[in-house]
Amino acid sequence: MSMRTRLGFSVCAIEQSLYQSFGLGVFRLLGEDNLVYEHLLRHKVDEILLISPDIRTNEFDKGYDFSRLINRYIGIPACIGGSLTESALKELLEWGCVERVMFSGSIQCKNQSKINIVTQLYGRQAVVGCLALAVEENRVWILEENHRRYRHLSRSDIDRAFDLCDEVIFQDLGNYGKRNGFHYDEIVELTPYPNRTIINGGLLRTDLKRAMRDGLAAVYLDNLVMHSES
Amino acid sequence: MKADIQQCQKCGISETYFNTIFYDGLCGACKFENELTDQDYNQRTENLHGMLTHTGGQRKSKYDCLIPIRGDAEDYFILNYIIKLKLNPLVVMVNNYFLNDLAWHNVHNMITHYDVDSIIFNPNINHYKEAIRSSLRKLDSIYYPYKALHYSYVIRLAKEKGIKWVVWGQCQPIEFAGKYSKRDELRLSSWWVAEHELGGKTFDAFLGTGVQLDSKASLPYQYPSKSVASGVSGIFLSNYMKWDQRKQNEDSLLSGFAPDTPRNTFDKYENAGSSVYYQLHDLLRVKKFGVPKLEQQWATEARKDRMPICPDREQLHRYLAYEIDSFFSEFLQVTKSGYEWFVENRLSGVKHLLRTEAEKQFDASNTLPSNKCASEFILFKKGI
Repeated sequence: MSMRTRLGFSVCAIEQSLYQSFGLGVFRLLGEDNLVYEHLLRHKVDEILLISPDIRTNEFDKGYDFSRLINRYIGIPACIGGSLTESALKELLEWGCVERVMFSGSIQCKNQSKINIVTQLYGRQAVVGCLALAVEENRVWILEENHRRYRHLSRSDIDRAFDLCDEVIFQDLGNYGKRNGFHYDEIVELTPYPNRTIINGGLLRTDLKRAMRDGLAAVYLDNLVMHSES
Repeated sequence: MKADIQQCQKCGISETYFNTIFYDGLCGACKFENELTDQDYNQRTENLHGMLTHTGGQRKSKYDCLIPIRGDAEDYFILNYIIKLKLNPLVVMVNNYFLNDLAWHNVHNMITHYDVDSIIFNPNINHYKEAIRSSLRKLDSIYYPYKALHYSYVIRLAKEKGIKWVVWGQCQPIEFAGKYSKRDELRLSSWWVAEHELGGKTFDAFLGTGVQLDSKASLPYQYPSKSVASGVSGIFLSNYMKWDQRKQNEDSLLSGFAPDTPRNTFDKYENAGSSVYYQLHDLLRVKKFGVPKLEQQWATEARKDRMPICPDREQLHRYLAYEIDSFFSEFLQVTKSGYEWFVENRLSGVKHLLRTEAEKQFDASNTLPSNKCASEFILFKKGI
């Protein structure tokens, strides 16, 4: 019998505020982080994914001030991802204010020092992978580690992600923040482990129902949460 | 200081307002102004019609949608649009007690002209005034309690009546700030209200300490729980169509709308008949953001090439003259010394704008004949 599919919310975090991403490089302010956390409690989400966008490829001076998590009680288990130095990551984990850490670039490159830090301090169950994908011409593409271009997604990309991580997010970047629906048929059929798979990016209610039926580990909503009451 | 404030090269709106986003010198509203083609708009309008008319065989109410109104010209446009779709709306208004006889005329005329069912909710005046005193003290706002009450009442009423759609008109974060694209499917939610209407402060956070409202009195102001709000969807018409506020407002004259003779703006339609909107409410806006409502309205006209670019704040201030004492004496019933204390201590940075005449006047040729109110604050008035 499969566990219940968890409901999560993914959001971009910059300085002290949270933003809704509408695809790569487009961010719209949701408000100060406290306000958004408060509304997530209303929606009874099981977990939150906070992504601090890479300041090298976006026009921001600073990433999210993750130290804010140290002094705040969010009430929702937090998974963090994005640009963090090794020392900052270590400090956050030592404070115990995050539950899990998400890696996208690191699972594609040889340097796995940050993954090792998380594994040593929290165990592998705290390591979450993310495959940032786009579907075009019926083919699935993956965003490269440097965030500059896409290449074809291969079986080895998927196997490697599941080898390194406890759960893997299949993120439909092309539909992120939109209401077009997730490319469910094209993407979910690729996972060898539905019970370790999280889907994210433009999910609609129909996608949620399918995910529950297929026994996926979790669904991470984006835009739908803040612009909806059901 | 002036040189540090970015202004849009096209419309002149400044960066200090409503989280305006700039893209290479253009504000978001100008950038997205011509983002959609006529074909896109047709498609979006078709989607809107489909949404509003599709009942899925589960219609729970005799009404197709709820239309919240405040008695200004925009309401006429929304109502006219919905009726043309052959939908049966229920009109709802939360009385903010700031309306003069002109606004009440416009409300009652609209209801009779379009022959629609309506509900006007008059909140407990004592609780309401206490909330206003507190929000003025804590947030420099006299509209906060009304906005909190307005949205929470409308959503509760929609749920109670089994109405799925609440139709709002202009989406200000699209039209003024360009925070969103028209392609984004926007819906009203508790977060939306807190972030865009309540300045990021939920009613619970506002209550904190010092607001003399018990839990029963504050309940109507609290946004409904998720179980109440679920099943009700709030949409913005301007998310689905090319939005030209001024042109739409002018059409309301054909339906008997009476324009205002407002101070501190050239717009005789938006919030016509409010005794505070372009007075104390606007002055508090100048205090907080440095710019009046006039900036948004001017920039909107400039964006559509009907007025020259909006000038900087120093020039805008020359058009402003506020007289706010009647709000304190008639509405809040504050003593003269109390009023003087407030001006001296809380409005010190803008008290030079408390004057009977502005330095500059708007060109009269740009305006239409309008009406003057006979009474500033009417607690409740029934009939036309």
